[in-house]
Amino acid sequence: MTRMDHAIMIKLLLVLPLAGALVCLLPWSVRRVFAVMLGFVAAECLLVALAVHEVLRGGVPAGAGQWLRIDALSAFHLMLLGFVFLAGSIHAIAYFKGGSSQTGSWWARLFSALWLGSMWAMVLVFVSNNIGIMWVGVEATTLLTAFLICTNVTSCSLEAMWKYILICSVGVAFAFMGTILVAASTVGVAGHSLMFWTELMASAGSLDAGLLRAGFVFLLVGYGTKSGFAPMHNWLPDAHSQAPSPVSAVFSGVLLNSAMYCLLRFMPVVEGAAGNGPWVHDLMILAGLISIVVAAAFILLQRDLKRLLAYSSVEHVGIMALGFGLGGIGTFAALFHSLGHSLAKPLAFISAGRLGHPRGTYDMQALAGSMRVSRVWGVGLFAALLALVGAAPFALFMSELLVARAAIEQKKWFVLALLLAGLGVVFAGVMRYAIPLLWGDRPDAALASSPAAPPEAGSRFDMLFVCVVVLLLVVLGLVIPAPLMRLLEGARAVVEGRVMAL
Amino acid sequence: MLYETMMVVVILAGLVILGSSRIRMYIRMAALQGVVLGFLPLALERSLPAARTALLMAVAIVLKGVVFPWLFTRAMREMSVKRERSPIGGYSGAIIFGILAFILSLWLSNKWVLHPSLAGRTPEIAVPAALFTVLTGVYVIMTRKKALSQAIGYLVMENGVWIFGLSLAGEIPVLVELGMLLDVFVAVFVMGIATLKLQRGFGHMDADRLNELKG
Repeated sequence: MTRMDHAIMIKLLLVLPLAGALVCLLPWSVRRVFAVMLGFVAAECLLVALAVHEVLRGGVPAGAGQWLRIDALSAFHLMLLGFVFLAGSIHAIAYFKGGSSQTGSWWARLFSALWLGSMWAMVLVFVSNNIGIMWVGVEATTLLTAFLICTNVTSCSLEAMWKYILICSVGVAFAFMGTILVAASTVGVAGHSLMFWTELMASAGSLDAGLLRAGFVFLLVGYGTKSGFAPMHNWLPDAHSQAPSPVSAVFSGVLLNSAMYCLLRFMPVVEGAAGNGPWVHDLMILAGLISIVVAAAFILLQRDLKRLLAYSSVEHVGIMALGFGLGGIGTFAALFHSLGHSLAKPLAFISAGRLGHPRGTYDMQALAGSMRVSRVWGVGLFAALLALVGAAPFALFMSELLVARAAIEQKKWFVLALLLAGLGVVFAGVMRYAIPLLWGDRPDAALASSPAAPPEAGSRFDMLFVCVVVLLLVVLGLVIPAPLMRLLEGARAVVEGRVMAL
Repeated sequence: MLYETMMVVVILAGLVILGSSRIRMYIRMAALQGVVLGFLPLALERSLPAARTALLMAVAIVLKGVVFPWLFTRAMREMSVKRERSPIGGYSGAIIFGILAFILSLWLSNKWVLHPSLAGRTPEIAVPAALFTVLTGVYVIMTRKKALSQAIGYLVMENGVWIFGLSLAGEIPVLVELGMLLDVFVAVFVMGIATLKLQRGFGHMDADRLNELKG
């Protein structure tokens, strides 16, 4: 592909979901609008695959002057986005078909438009080379996803939406002040112009270290709020548990990563300035450990399945932050961990949704014995939970092992101890709930008219979906294919500030 | 001198919001801040603004001085709430917080050494005033109980961010500035709709009575 093609591709990546959002608002019927939405998401995924392919071939697609740019780190995150949105869209159709929520055609059109709109905002975060536009993208995700939380208007979902908008808007405003401080640190540097990431990287050594440090604190609090670091995570369990399951999948699988991605962009810049190296890493380690410990404590207290999964997201974001903070092999581990998490968490949320939504509850006691209700989704949920608590041989086990190794290599024993304790508590806590949830006695068995009702057979497609994701999680735990390895290494090089391109 | 006067007006408006219980007063003070800050580029550059700056000023003044107050006033009427009742910490606590926040802002901004070319252009009071306004907004969000007051608190915080942005960054691309204004607009709009939905869903709009989700 030529530079010209690259420029067209990168612009199409942005135009397609936006156009899709507008098209979805046309007066379609409910069935049609979901088909149109799925079509646009699938087309976007093809474009993402093309972009990843180009990056693997060694290109750095750029467009619109310096404004848009896809390097290995962007391509890696775009890949996660493609998978999660595709899986979420397919299941959104099934989820809303049997549901009791309002299913007017206007509602379906609005949902699809907002869904594609949030996809657009997240793509914008990943492809913009300007730290200001990146911020605009993050803020746009907050606003566009807010209404997705309360698609089913209840007092609880309204409460969750209010908390989400308010806490995340405050967080994102702090991120903006951090961005401004970073921009202020460039004043006086020869040839500085505007706020392009590539230029920040090129002149990192001569930027004002003090202002960068102040800026990074604001960025960590701001983007950290959006990516679910404790103690700014309060919005997360509410939003994840009240949103429809496909939306929760997107929240956990892409939204948190997109905020983390912004921090990753700033890490090498701040590190590059004189004398800031270990300081940035220590902050990330601290943020990671707090999140792991808080999440582990709260996981023990949960009754609601989706809240349990939400706290598990806080834990995993903590593990990623810890990996990035440790650096070296830890950076690689954290990236690999986010891949595993973005595979397993959507599966968990979608399975939970398909089990709980028809019965109108996510209370784990009420859902006991789910394996007898639906074999497919029971297996899907259990496999996803096993993967999420880091059982071997799933991919997340390998990445957690690598994070632990990074801690050992740097002789950070206290960090290692806290990490292992957190992982142990989460393992025990989740399994304690998971076993009765799947194999326990059904609380409604006595009331059911036909106690020996056969398990609901999932469709072929559902079975295929669960099998593919579980297989991917297992295979990735055993071997990383060469192209993926190159992508991960390329992304790692970007985070470590070694090269600006693959 | 003009710049310093503007900052003093903004800070005083923040203090009034901290000490008042009337939501109409919050709306007016936030609008006053917005309009004063809309003219800030004039005071900074001391010359006639370029076309892009003029555009930005116009958008900011219309949004913050006319559109937002109108939206909030409408929401206030529709939900028939006029007063904040017993905020956490009380009103005297809020004023004490305001004084402490101002001291903190002065102290913090003293630690940041600006590049000479920036420091020459930015009056000394800019950064403390920005931080103080942000802190005021966050405090209002955290302690006031009506959803509407919290939304206005967000607007006050955004006003602080605006001072911060104008006086600290050498030059922000106009695209980013417009994007930011648009985001603020949509945020306030979304909050407006959300408060209406809260009102209809719960029959009230006390954010502190939103406590069904726990743990």
